[in-house]
Amino acid sequence: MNAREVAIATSITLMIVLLAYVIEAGGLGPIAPEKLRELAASYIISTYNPWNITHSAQSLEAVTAIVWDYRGLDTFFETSVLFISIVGVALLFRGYREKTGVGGRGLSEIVKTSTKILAPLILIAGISIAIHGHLTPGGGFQGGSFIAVLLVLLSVVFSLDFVVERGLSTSRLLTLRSIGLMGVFATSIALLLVGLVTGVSAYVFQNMVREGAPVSMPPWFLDRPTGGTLLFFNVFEALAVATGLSLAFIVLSLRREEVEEALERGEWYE
Amino acid sequence: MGRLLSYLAVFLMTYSFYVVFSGATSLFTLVLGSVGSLVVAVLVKNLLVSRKLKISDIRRLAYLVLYYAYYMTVAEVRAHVDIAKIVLSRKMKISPAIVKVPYYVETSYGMTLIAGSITNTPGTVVVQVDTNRKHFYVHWLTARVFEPARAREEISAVFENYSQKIFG
Repeated sequence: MNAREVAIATSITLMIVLLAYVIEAGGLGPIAPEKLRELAASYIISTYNPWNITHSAQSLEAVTAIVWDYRGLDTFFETSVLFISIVGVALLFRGYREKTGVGGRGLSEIVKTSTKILAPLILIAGISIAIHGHLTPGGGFQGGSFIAVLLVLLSVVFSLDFVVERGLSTSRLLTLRSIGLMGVFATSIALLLVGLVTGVSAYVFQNMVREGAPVSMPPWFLDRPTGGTLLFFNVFEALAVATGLSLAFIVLSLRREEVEEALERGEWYE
Repeated sequence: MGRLLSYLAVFLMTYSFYVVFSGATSLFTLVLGSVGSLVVAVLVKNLLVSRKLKISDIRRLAYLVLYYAYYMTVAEVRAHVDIAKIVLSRKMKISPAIVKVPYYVETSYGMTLIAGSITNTPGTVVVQVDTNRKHFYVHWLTARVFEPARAREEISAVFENYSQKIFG
C-alpha cells in the first residue's frame, strides 16, 4: 500500500463520516417542512381544481402547469433560446453539404436488426411521455429528448449515410423544428385570436376560463383533463426538441468530406 | 392488402408496447396513443418490413409466443442452473473457447433471434457474426465439442428450429 492509496482511503472514509455527521446533526435541515408554504399550497389547490376551473390549470402535474401555464412566457423564451443556439450551430458549419456514399459500415447485422425493432418503440415512448406530460412526470422536452436518442442510435449503428438517405437532412429537420416552434407560438396566442374574432377579452397564454375572459381551451378530452394549452405545448415542444437535438447531433458528427467545402468557403470569407 | 397488413403489424406492435409503457387504459391514453402509433407505423414501416405479409403469417406469431414461453422457462432456467453449479463448486470445471457455429435461417430477423437467444443464456456469448459465410463465433464457457456442426447441436439447434418457423 503506498501513500497515494492511503490518502484516497482516508479521504473516502472522512467524506462518509462527515456526511453522516451532517445528516445526523440535522445540518441539512428537515427534509420536508411540516407545514406547506403558502405559495406551494396555492399551486396545489389551483393546479387541478375541476370544481373551480377559473382558478385551475386542469393539470394533474404541478411542474408542467408551472412551466407552461404559470410561467409560460418564460418557457417560451427558453425554447426560443434553444432554437437560436441550434441555428447558431448550423450557421457555424454553413456551406457544408450532406453526402451519401462516404462510407461507414456501422455495427454488426445483429445490432442493426435489434435497432430496427427498437426504432418504433423509442418513438412511441417519447410520444407517450409528451402527451402524458400534464398527467405524469415528463413532458415535451423529456419526450423530445427521448426521441432524439433514436437518431444518435441510427447514425452510430447504421451510419450517417443511412440517416440522410431516409430523408432526415438538416434542412428538413430545421423545417420541422420551426413548425414545432410555430406550434408553440400559435398555442400561446390561440385564445387571444378567438377572443379578437368573437369580440370578448382574452389573454396571451390563456389556458382555462378566467374572470372577464370567457374563452377557454377544452378542459377535458374524453375521460382525462387536458391541461388545456399544456397538451398542445407538450406535443409541439416534443417535435421541436426532437428535431432540434437531432439536427445538432448531425452537424456535430459531419464527416471530413462534407465539411471540406464549408472550410474552403470559410477561408474565402476571411 | 399485403401493404395494409404490414402497416397493421407495425401499428399493433407499437400500440401494444405503448399501452404497457404508459401503464394506463383510460380513453385519453388509448385514443391519443392510437393516433401516435399510426404516425410511427407510417414512419418506420419501410425500415421494419421488406416483404408482403399474409394472413397466414399469424401462425408465425403463435410460434413466437410459444418460443418465448419455452425460452424464458426451460432454456433460461437450465442454463442458469448449469452456470450456478459451476460458479458455486470448489473446483470450477470450465473450458472456455470460441467455437464456430453455423446457421441456416434466411432472414436477418431469424439470425438476430438465434444470436440473441445464445447470448442471453448464461455460458454462451456471440462475439462475432459472419453473414456472408453464415456462421457465428460463440464464446462458450464449457466447450465440449469444437466441430461446427456438433457445436450447433449443443448450442443453437433448438433456437434455430423455432427461429426457422418464426422468421424463416
